[in-house]
Amino acid sequence: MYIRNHHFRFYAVISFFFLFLSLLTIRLLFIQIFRSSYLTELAEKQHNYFTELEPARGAIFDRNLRQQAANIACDSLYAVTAKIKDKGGTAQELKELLNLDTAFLLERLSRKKSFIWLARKISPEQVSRIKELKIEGLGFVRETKRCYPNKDLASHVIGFAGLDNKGLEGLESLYDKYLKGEPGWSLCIRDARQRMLTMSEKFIPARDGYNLVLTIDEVIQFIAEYELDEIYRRSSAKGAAILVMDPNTGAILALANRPSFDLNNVNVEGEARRNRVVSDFFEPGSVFKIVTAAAALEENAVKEEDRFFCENGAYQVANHILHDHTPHGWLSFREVIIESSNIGTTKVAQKLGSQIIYKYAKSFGFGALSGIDLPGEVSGVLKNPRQWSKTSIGAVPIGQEVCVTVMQLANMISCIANGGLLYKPYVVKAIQDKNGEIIKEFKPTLVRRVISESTAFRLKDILADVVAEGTGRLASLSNFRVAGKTGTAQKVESGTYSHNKFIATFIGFVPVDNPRLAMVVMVDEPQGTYFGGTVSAPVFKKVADKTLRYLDASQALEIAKNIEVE
Amino acid sequence: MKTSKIISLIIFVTALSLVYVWQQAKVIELAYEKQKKIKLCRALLDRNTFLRYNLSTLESSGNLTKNLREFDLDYEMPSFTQIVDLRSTNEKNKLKLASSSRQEIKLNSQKSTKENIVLSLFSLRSQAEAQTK
Repeated sequence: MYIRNHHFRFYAVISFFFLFLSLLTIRLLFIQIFRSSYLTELAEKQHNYFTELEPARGAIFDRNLRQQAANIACDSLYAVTAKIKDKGGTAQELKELLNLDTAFLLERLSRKKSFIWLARKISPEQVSRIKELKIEGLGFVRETKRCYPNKDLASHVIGFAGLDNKGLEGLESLYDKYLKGEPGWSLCIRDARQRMLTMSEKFIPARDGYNLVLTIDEVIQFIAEYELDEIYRRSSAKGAAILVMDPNTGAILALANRPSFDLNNVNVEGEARRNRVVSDFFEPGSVFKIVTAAAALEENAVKEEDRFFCENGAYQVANHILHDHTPHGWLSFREVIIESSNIGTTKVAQKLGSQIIYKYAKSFGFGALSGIDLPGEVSGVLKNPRQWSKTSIGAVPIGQEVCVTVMQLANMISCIANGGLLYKPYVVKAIQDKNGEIIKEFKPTLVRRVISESTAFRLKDILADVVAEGTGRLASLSNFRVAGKTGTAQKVESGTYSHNKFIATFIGFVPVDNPRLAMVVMVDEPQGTYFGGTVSAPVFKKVADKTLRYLDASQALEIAKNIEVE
Repeated sequence: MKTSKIISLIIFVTALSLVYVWQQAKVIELAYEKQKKIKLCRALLDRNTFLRYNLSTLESSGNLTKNLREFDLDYEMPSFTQIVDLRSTNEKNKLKLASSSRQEIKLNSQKSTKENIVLSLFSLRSQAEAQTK
């Protein structure tokens, strides 16, 4: 009996263990085989993490590869609101560091979210001070911030990118698809402490954005902006603009407006952000007489020596009396332009007729977009002769009843300078990848021939005399011959021409024989003296003088580098 | 015999498993190291970009003009006939070294010519040796 009991207990224990092991085995089989796909998926979700790789936004360089726009790494502050115990206290501590309203911070911290931005792209000093506070629930994410080392230089050309590195204005906006690049992605493994491990081979690198190389020269841009700033402040003007161009190619060397703004701080009124060179049109006044003169010479309607009676300063056109600023008697055609006689120019225009004037104005590019690669360009206003009134023949040829942009005036004067060819202006020279390989190159584009070389030659001579003897004397240089034209246009106010609001303009090129620079200077509502010849012409002179010295110095340096020292 | 074989097999399998586990742990360890280095590299690149940006800002025309005004330095534009050497001090020093080493070579060759003349004057050899073949 004792032996029988012993056997029973032995088999009972064995059976118990056997049953237990069987249950374990079944459970194991169930987990490993039947639930394996589900559990594997769950584990992968927990441990695997797809991270988007942000591409670096392309940089912007001037024509000599000096950096104009760059990307700087910075941190953005976020909060995991559930982990922040003292929300009020946290808001109080952060408000001064971040320069934000307490109410705003409290509202953000009160939201039931696992991730909420508090401040984007803050400075390293702010980051280190926040880290010192050691507040649980706050974290930082590394991002890149668009920065502009030259602050407000060429601000209207370069434009700026927003918080998410998307171009919003200027070239940043127009060429955004080239600058932004393409994001990549990477499959990372995350451990139990949420640390990332890049172990996986599943990785597609980000394609960084392409770089833009501009036609703008930083030094010439600075010279232009410096002088423009001087005249803008000195004349307490409402606005001002300057454009410097290579007349032989259409490449823009400098483009500036006043008022301006710092690209690193774009919270300014819209007035400062407007690119007046392409977006503002105005009645040009006497500078438009170049169109009339070009048409007259090209059509052989006049010769330089032909004489016109300027009615001693008052001339009736239909029911309107046209006046000259200074009364003249008989003037030759050349003198009509040099002295900028409205009456003389109107008589020339009457000889030509409205159709011819309109044809040449259109041919010079007025009333149409120039096609420059900058956003916001307007075409101005050029009325078809069918819409001209009886007085228009005394208005349009002298630059009234027509609206032009600074860009269009620059195109016209460049056309005269280079012998009669109209080129499409451009600001971007090339698009390069980060290794300097050219992706796309932009070359000078000839639009059409407007006037013959001989007409251009004759007109250049007349315009040189405008500067040598006429209204543009203050634009003359001692060592180069300058050609140009002044303009002083009355602004329209409540449907009539104002007697105290003017636009002072000077357009010209230098040197006359081998033009290297074409320039337009426009000052809107200068206070005190308001003539183009006294306000804008001196700006032309200073910019041209310094720019030519710089160009000669750069050339000499290049030559010196290439000469071997014996 | 059979028992010893079984035990050897178990030991072998266990050792293999341990090696596999060690390998996996090592891979994870190396991944952590790699991640640290990537972070360090990124920080250095960021610092480099930041410094280059600072350099561009300091070298910008606006900043230079501001500094010139602040320090009230007496600069003037050169006249058209004036030549100004824009090369840096380093380049000038290099040129000096290059030209002085060339001068040395010239001097040495001149010196050796002179020595040859002197030697030949006092040489025991006859001045003219006509060699006929």
